[in-house]
Amino acid sequence: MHYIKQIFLSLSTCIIAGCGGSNTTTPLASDITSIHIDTTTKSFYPTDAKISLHATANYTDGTTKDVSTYVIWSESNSSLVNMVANTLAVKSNGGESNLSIQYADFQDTTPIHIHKLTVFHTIYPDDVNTTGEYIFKAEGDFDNNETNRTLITNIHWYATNDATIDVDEDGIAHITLIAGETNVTTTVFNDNNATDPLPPQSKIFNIN
Amino acid sequence: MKKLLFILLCISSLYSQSHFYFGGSMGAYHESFEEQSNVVENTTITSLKIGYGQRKAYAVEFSFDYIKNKSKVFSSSGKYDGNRYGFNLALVKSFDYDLFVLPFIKAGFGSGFMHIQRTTQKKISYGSYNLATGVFIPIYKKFDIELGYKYRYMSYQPIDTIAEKTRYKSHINILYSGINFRF
Repeated sequence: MHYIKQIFLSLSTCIIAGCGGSNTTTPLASDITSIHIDTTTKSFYPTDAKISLHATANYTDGTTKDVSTYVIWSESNSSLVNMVANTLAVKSNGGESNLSIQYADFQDTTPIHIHKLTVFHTIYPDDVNTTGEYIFKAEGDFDNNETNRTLITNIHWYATNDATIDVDEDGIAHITLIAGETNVTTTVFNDNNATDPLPPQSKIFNIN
Repeated sequence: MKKLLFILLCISSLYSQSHFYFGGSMGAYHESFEEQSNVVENTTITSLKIGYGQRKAYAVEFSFDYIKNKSKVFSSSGKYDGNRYGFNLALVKSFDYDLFVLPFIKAGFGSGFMHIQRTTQKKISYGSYNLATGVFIPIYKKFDIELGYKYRYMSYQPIDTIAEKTRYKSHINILYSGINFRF
């Protein structure tokens, strides 16, 4: 048995010696060191369009990659904001929340502030005296002294008399008025639980 | 492909005059990766196996591999890959040319795993297609020495870097020597 072992080890040693070489010390793929939410601004208007947020991963080789769509996003105050993937939608008027991302053991959290809409005014078209499509829009003033900012989301348009309403992505309402009396109403934040709701605004148009 | 190989192995096991055998081997292990040819692993491989068949005809072999990694291919900077453990199944065909050695060929597949040190992964598994050739050197009826060369085509579980999940593939060349005891 001793001789067998000697033969075995000798052959193996020869083979190993003939197949030498240095081993790799740099991994094929760099590893993750951290992830973080990219926030150029941490304050948002509740009536702006939905906002795409971004997250970045840092790697051991010093590189970074956009991982916005790979991490799990969440919010601490779901009655104020709602995260769907990396898209932020504001649901209520004014408040504070935290946004978080997570992937495996990595996570990052950042606080955000939602400005409060203090007053809004509907801008009605002039000279509505014939049937056809008219443009309506609404603007608002906020608690940070921002004024006349166009309301894009969380604004709702209603019209009587079978008028058709088409709201585009910029928040402009295209309302087609027909003959007769049409009442156009604008509301913001259809939230029955709002502590300080803003009253709706209406105007009646008569077309013969 | 693996199912076909398994069926062939099962058919071969029905051969008459077959016997069980077991053995062990050690060899030099060289692995190079498809994505980056300069990424290599040079180390040793130790195998234990059990087989059923005839030394001069067909046999089926189950083998267990142990590879002590000496590189940092998958683990994060500064950390070595852990040891690798694998299982293989192979069909063996040997040829009797009335020489003092019996040439053979082997074909099969295997799988295994290794521990790695990454932030999102602690273990990585792999699958392989295996080919081998070499000679049995019969010492006496129930004992022979085996010298051979193995080639393995490896496919690893993807490495997760959040933004990408990259599946690495490699080629392994093994020169080995071993012994077999036959019943």
